[in-house]
Amino acid sequence: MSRKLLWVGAAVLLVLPPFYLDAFWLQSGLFAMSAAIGAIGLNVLTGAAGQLSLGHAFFLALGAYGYIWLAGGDERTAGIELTGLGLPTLLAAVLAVLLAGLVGGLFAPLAGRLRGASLGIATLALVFLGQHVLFRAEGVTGGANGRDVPPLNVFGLEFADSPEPVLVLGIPFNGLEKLWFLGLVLLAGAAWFARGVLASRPGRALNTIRDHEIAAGALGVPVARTRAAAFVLSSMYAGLAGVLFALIYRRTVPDTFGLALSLDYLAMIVIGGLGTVGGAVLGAVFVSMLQPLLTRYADGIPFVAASGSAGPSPAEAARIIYGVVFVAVLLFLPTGLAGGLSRLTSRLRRRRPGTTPNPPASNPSREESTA
Amino acid sequence: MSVPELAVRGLTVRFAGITALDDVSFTVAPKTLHAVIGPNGAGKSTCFNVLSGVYRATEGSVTFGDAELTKLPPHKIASLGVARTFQNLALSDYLTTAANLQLGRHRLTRTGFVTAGLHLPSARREERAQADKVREVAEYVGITEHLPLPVGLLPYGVRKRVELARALCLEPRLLLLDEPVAGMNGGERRAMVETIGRVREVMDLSIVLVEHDMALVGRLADEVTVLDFGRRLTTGTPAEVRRHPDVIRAYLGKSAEEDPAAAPRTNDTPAQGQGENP
Repeated sequence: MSRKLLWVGAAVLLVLPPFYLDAFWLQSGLFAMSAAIGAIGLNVLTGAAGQLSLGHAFFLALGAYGYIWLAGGDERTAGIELTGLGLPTLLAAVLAVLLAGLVGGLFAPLAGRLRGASLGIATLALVFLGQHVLFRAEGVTGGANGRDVPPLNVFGLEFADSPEPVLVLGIPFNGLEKLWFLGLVLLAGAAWFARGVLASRPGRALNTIRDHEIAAGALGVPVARTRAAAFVLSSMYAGLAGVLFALIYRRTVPDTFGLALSLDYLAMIVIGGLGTVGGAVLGAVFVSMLQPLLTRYADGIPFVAASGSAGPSPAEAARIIYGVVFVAVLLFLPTGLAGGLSRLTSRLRRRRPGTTPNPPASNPSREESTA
Repeated sequence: MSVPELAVRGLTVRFAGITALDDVSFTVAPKTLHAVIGPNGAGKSTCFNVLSGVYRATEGSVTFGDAELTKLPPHKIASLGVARTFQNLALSDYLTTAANLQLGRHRLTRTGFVTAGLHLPSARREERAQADKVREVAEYVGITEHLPLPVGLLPYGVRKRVELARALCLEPRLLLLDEPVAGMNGGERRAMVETIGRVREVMDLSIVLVEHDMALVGRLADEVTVLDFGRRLTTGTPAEVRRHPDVIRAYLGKSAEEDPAAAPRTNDTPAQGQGENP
């Protein structure tokens, strides 16, 4: 019962920001949602199946630029002939996610056969390949200058600023406010889907491949095919995160999708907790909210320089902090923030009289399915 | 489902110059228990790994009914109803016992990424049905109380039983047991032997057992194949094998030849069981 109450409370809290927070925080929050979707996907691959991927940024780029190219029209800006298919934006968004999955599928022969760290090296190549293509294929990507993102239009509802925004409870609803709710829906859907996968047959197969590949095969799990499927699913999550990312920033540049982004995603799932949806979301929020927090409050925080003065910039400081947290989590919280949190709550619950202690298992969804 | 014959013919496995198995042949008649014994390094585990598709055979064939096992990947072999356990435990420590057993149902279930992700009714129904089946097997093997616990928290002896239960969840027609009592204490051993005996009485399957424990082999096996340095020394009933001079020599060295009474009796031969394999 209290769990249900908790969810309702969380839902209410998540609906409120567009009514109270300014664009800066909305954009940061939306970015965290996009990151959470991508991190859930990576956690299915790396956390649940034990397959390292450094190519997540590549699939994010596929989603983002795929959407732009599919939805954008032919135009000419800054001396570059841009091409585009001009498809309806909703269709373009769906196709962009499928495109990411398709390319993930093309990578299947490698993704199925290579194990753990070897796959990490192979996917590293994807990031560099992606960077090269993003800078060179100017007609599609706009080159180093990037390209504008056509706003999403879902059956007449346009996720963009308009001169006369709709007022909701006296608050003008512009692009970011509307996108906020789109982001919530997408994130909830992504989390729901991944939980279903992880808590049942395919999830168990992935876990066993991670823990004991030979045993998985001997029990009838087609190891290569299941790994490849996890890779495709993870690519599609990255693609969706990429589409949302593009919609939030309205302009994408190739630099965004470098190796650093892939590493950010790895940091998210390690810090949050490997193998669980909650861990991915927690880690994504932590890593992606750190920099905006430091930027906003740079004046009040020692060592962090306000823009223009000497010392580490907020972006650098964020990296230093999450680097430290990363190491601390590896040393002291092997199950990540999510694991630590669930241990804390179960300890508190045990201390309270009259409630039954939690069994030591860390994943509640799994218990439900097997109870 | 009928149980076909398992026939191993001229099986040879070489790794980079080392011949682990050399022209080994034996047959396992339907619904019998066939033990493969031999000193450390005799090739018993290699033989198992070929049967379950983990290693490729260099030469020779293994047929189970009409299927040629040496040409199939492990999961296809499993889908023929061949289940195995591992000498050194191959469970997912973080998953619950129940989830580990559910994995044994993998070949008999359908739910894929999409149906599971969309929480479709068919997926939930299957999950519930499998949970029932899992509980049934767990009861049979005597691990019901451990179902909700992560396997990593269970004592070694119980984990060996979980492995057996997971293999049984496959509803196998051929069960490969790799040293099922290795490292167990006396009580655990007796319980395990009792369970294996019951499994072969009640269920429709053949069992191939790798074991060091001659007492156990003598009690359970219909036939025994003895391997030494990758070669088959002999095949016969436990009593025949125990008297065979080559077997005695392999186990106790040449000097024992003069004293047939010193045949490899049992548990009190120095425990060879543990940690043979890397």
